[in-house]
Amino acid sequence: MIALGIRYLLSRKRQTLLTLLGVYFAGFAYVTISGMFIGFQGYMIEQLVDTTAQVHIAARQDYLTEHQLDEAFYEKIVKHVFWTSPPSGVVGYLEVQNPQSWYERLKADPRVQAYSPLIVIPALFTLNKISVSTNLIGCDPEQQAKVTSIAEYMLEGQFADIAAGGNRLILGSELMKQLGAGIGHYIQVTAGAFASVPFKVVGSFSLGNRAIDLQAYGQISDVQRLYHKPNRVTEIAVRLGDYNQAAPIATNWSKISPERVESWDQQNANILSLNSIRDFLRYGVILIVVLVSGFGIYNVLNMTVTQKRRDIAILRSMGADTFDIIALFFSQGLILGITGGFFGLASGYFACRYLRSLPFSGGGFVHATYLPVLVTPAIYVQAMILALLTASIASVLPARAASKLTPIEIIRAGE
Amino acid sequence: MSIKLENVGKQIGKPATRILSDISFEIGDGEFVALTGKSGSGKSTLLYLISSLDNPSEGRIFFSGGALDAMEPEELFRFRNQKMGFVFQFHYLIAELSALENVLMPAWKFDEKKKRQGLAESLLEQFGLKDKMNRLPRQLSGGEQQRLAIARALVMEPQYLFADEPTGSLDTVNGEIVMNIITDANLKRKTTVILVTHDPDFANAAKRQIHLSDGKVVRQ
Repeated sequence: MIALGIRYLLSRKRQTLLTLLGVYFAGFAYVTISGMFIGFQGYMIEQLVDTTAQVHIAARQDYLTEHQLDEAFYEKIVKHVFWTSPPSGVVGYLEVQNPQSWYERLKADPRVQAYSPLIVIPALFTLNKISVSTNLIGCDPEQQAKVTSIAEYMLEGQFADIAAGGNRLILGSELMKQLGAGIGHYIQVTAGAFASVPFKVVGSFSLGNRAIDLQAYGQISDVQRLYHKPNRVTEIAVRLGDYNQAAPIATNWSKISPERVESWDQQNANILSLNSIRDFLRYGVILIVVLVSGFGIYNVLNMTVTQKRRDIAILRSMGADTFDIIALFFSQGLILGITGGFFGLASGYFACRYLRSLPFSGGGFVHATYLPVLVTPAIYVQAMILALLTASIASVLPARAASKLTPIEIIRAGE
Repeated sequence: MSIKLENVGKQIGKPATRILSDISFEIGDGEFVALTGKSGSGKSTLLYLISSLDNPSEGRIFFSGGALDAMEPEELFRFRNQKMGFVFQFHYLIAELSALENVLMPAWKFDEKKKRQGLAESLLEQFGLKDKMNRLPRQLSGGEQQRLAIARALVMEPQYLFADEPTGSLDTVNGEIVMNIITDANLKRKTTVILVTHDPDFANAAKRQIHLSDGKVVRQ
């Protein structure tokens, strides 16, 4: 029956070719669109996970609410306080309260791969007459390199060059550009109300993210000294063995400490929410393409069933049973699905390989050299399953309709 | 007796229209029977009932003592494939297959193509189609197409051959050729032939005629 199905397909070359093209484009679209969308998402997540801490422990600072200070001022004497001017501002701490206990906890936790204490302060960077206000991050470069991949994004110098101390700085490319600074230049750095201190530029980095590239790194002890806060840290950056566990771990730690603990995905919720929109678009496009190809198969087989009623009658009179007739038409749908799907997937694979070779700047958000297009077997398996499923669903209805035809109906109709 | 009909009747449609009523007769092994009657007398319907392509509304049909309605579907499909051959007014050849492939089509069901290949070729030779066995049906004349259809009906060496107006769409010369082939199948292969025809000349080729009128057997 399958051989006869193939003969039917070959006898209607144009129709078969058009249907094959429908399935082909569905397979091609699935592979390329998925490759691009998932590839970009994956790359973005990879960038977020690699260039920033996976879990971020910071001093907690919350905005005051209207009645938060009622008890402090009036104990429980007054039931309700009506403020003419309600208290406002920030309550909390500027530094991590007990960093030593955090270090011990992090060291003991097998899920933690590395951690890096940081002091992040707002600072004014001045070179000649140009001043730029941004964050200065004090860190231990060796530990920081274990937590993020910053060391891999150095444009000049080595990230470890600040380790020696003696007021050295590594500037982000954007800060470097705005200040007009270069390697070896001395920059005046002012923190808070303290006197400015000269720092020597020993390197620069670029992550492709303008906000990050506007920051500067220094040795932690140098920055603590600049800010007159020896041995204080404002944040602890943590890297985990499995970044997918970051959110539950952060939530758990948050409950048992006064610090604000957030995971990379909690911190970048806005960016990640775009992924669901992209997924929606991806599935929408794929659904349309699949529906079009499915209807193509359905139409062709439906037409074939109508055209081949006489064949069905004679096959029935020769002893063909319901299964044989279903197999005759179902096999045609499957052949279209498999053949079209295979060529669509193959073309999609080569298209993805080509796209991966195209230079890509990252659009100022992520640092990419080439288009991040994903080429993974999972996408191809999904696409093939989808092609087979579409072909099967589209074929089963005409095949069932054909199997229900009795020879006598056709012969009596004088066809 | 090979085929036995017991009070067979047939109604179709809603509201029901009676096509056949109270048909009872027997056909012996190797008999050549012609079902005759005017157009609309029910002879084709009776042929389809006997050949299991349709089910009677009442009554029973037996083949060698076994009732058709008692057969399991699979058993009936096998019986139809192995024991019955069909020739219709229209040839119903499969347009995509060559003459030889069309003849061998019934052998596909139980994977007997190799076994039947020699017989198929010899039938085609016997019917004057040897040099056309690789042609498609559309490349053959009407008479050749019908001969091909008979070869297909005989390739499984059936015990019963059912022919419904096999000469209906043919000219006199081709009609006679087809009738000779059918007669030959009865005489040489001892195939039981049940032929539906309204042509008295062709009906005379049969050893026995069952005449129908208004859905009833009026003479046999």
